[in-house]
Amino acid sequence: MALEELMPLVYDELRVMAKRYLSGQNRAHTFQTTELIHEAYLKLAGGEKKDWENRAHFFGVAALAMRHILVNYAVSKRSQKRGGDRHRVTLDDDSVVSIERTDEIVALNEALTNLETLDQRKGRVVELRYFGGMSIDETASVLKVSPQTVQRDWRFAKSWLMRELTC
Amino acid sequence: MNELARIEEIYHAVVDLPEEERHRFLSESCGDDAELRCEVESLLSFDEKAGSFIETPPDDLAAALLADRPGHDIVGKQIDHYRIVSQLGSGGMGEVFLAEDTKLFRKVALKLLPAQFASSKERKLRFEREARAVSALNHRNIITIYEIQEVEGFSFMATEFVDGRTLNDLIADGPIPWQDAAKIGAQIASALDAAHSVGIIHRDIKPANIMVRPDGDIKVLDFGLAKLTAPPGESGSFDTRDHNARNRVMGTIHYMSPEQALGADLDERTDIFSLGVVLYEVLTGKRPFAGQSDAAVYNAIINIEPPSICDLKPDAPQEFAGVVGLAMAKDPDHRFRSAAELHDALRGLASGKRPEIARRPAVPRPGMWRSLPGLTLAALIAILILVIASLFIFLPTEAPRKLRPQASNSTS
Repeated sequence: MALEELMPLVYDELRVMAKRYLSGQNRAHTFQTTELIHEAYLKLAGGEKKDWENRAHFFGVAALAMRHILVNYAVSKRSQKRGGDRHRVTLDDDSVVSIERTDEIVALNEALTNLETLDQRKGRVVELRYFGGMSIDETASVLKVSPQTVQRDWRFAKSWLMRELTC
Repeated sequence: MNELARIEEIYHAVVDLPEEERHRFLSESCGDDAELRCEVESLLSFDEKAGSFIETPPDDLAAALLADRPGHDIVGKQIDHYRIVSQLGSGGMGEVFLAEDTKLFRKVALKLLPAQFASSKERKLRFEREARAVSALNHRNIITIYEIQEVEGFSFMATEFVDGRTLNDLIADGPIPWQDAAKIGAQIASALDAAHSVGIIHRDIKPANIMVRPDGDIKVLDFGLAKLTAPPGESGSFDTRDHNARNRVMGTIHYMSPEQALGADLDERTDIFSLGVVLYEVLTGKRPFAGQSDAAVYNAIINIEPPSICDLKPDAPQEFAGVVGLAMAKDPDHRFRSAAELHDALRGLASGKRPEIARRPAVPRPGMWRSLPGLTLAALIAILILVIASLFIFLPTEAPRKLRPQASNSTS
């Protein structure tokens, strides 16, 4: 199966798994993005040859998918909020998503987009580490650079993004 | 070295130094450049504060958000002067909703544009310019854009609402008669011709971007959007694998032209190729370029001639197969010269006329002969004559020679 065809499946698979985690039976188990992506990979890669090339590729796509999902959602949550008094929306009580959290994601995404225009790779490092939940080593494999480079990019990007968000 | 790289270099050189050494190093490396020093110091001050910042993925948020359907919860809400009625579809390009314009009391399709591109102003301006230019053509086969707006950091585009189905859905339903395929194709080609005439290439012609109304009229969607979502500057540290991953997220690679697959410069003939691929699929129900991996699909697009339409769809006229074959020529120079030419050929087919495609530059291409019925017949007759002739010429002399060793074997 071509990875391009995989993308909508990854998206759907991630969603189905998340639903299962939240359905109650798995509440004891903490939801982890990285674990979710690994599981989705094992399930979707199925009997296919699991060479690292494909795996790295898959993780790259999955991190991007997670970013899409989160940002799109956060944006739609915000649009509810700004629907005005007439269409006031209160989020479900058991929802862990607060308006503050969604605002944070949207703001981070904007700052990250700015960083990407200055330094594409640093943007990818943050996308993979934060949205994809990947370790330094995994990120290095996906980007085909050394872990030291990822470490440096990550440290600098964090300072840069934090300043962007607080100033 | 660009500015950020310079700042970063100094940053890493001093970030782990004790306070006094840090000052000394900064004085040396920044010299009189107060701005540079200020920038580095400002970032350094965030190094400690950053601590656990974004170290943990937003798992809680991901869990909650993933469990929900996208866009589902904005149905019934108001965005600007639009009331969201229902979700029409979703795709790589963003969510699409049916909405009601509360000022003008009309139905509109509201498309949320990809959030992460919202902050690239240059890109957005270019997209808006193109989208508006195409919309301004007032072509009956191009969707009309009402407005492009930004509300609190997210962008949406309000367009004419087309009550119909995407060509993608129609293909999934089963075979489409070739006469209908010709009519659909002619309308798409007409839309492309109009857009090309103002210098705009679609770049992402695919069944999901074609709306078909119940009366058979079609509308081409998303002019300019492909460019909006293309990765910035193909050069630099951005690697092509990444580029492809992003293409994948945004859509499908199956309708790409060879020049697109190769990352080469594009002109309007890329749209002609993609329309050829769409028509092939509409006619046969199969994509011409398939593969187990992206690499295989790219390879097929660039190097492999697809199976003959005549074999897959015997009732389609050979002329139609010829038109599609010509649109899908690997070399842009061998395709129809313009969307107008393709339009004429398809309209001719729809009205029962034979298209004049024989006047293309006669460059032999594999599979080409299939598309020219006269040539096929001539070739078949020639082959038949050769075969019959060879029977008479070779049989009497060949046969005994072949029989001889066998005969000697059997006797020994």
